[in-house]
Parts: sequence; structure tokens; C-alpha cells
Amino acid sequence: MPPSFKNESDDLEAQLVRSAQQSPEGDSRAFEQLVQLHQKRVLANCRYLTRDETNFEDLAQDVFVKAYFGIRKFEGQSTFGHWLRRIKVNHCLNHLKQRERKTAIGFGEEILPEDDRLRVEPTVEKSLEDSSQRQRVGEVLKALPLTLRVPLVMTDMDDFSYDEVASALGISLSAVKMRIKRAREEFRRLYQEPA
Amino acid sequence: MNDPNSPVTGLREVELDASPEFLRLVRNKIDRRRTSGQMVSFGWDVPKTLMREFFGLLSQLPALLGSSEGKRNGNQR
Repeated sequence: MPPSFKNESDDLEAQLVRSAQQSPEGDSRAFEQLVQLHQKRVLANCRYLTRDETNFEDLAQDVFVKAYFGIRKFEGQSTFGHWLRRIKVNHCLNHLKQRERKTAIGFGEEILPEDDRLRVEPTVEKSLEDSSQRQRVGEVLKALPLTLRVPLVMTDMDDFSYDEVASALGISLSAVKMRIKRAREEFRRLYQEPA
Repeated sequence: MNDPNSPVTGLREVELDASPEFLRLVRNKIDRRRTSGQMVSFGWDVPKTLMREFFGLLSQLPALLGSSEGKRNGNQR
């Protein structure tokens, strides 16, 4: 998105947040516009974070419900989008933990050595141009194991820092770095394989 | 793509179309939660109000009884 458009959409978002905060109880029109701005991303994130094909829409709805009842406490220290992403990640991780109790698949702490070579700078990569590519991304994400998929989605899809991922998942920073490195390698390997 | 450590930036563009019902379902959930919140607060407030009224009446009872006693005594004389 070009910077000017991004600024415009940020302004619109900030304006909508203020309107939603000041709206009388029962008037959710401003908030509904915020839902429309973010629903596609939240839906995609909920789907790929949890890989729960039957409940991801429900999870996304719950994220917005939580945001609605918490919006008056939102102080604007970060963008609304970032605040919403935190709600979404916490909600999806709670869902995964509940499921984990039933299936015994865990995030499992792995002790890995600190490695400075794993610190990487963002690089620009060819964007996804059409829906078939997006569909392929979805398939590859689905194929990744939970321990690699969640940190990858949090960093590369949601822009969380390594520290934020470590604290959300309750694992060490070095484990996060290693998992993200492995996840990116695995993602690219699977993406290049024929569908 | 050459650097195996670089972020998969295409992931930032991944979106899913919401169903036409999505917004309505969010609105319904908000309404349900608001209503249940009101019910809970009502459930707390009603007994509190009843108790307050009851103790208010109790505290006024001696004064009421005293005045009716006084009237009765006055009538007997």
C-alpha cells in the first residue's frame, strides 16, 4: 500500500475508533465500519493460526466482540490494528490451548542455542498477485506443523516482534528465532513443491 | 527469496472474504452479551434494592409503632 493511502486509512481508522469510543451504548455503527476494515485479515489469521476449519469464523467474531467491549479502554498507544491483533492472537492461542488439552499437541519448549545469524532484516519480496497464489499460501500454511505455523503467522503475517511471540507462546527468544527460521525454510520448500 | 531467513512478506497480504452474514453475526453476539450483562447486573441490583427497602422499613418501624401507640393511648383517655 503506498504511504499516502496508508496514512489516509490510518486517519480514517483513528476517526472511527474515536467515534466508536464516544458512541452511546447500543450504537455500534462506527465499530461496524472498523469490523469491515479488518474482518478479512482477522478471518485469515484465525483460520491459519488455529487451522480450525469449522470454528475460525466463530473465533473471528469473538475477537470483534471482545474488541467492542474493550474499545473504551483502548488508549491509542498503538494502532487499533495492532491492538486488535493482540486480542486475536490471545484468543486464538487460548483456543489452541483448549484444543491442546484434548489432543495433547503442545507448543513444547525447545532449548535451542542463541544464534546471531538468525537475526534477519526484512526484505521486500514479490507480493502475492492473484487468488490462486493466496490459495496456495493457505495450503502451505495448513501443511506446516503447529509449532512452526504459529510463530510464522505471528511474525510474518501479523508483524509481532520476536519478543512478543516469545512472551505470547511462553517460550524462549532463541526458540522463537529458531522456529521462525525453520518455518520460513519449510514454508518456501513446500511453496515451491508442485501442488 | 534468496535469503532463507527473510520474512515471507507475501503472508501480510493473505486475506479471506467474509461471508455476508459475518457482520450480522458479530452484531448479534454483541447484543446477546450486552443483554446477558444487563441481566446479571439486574440480578444483583434487585435483591440489593429489596434489602435496602426492607431495612429502611425496619428502621422506621419503631417510630411508626410509637406514634400509633401514642394515638391509641390518647384516644383511650
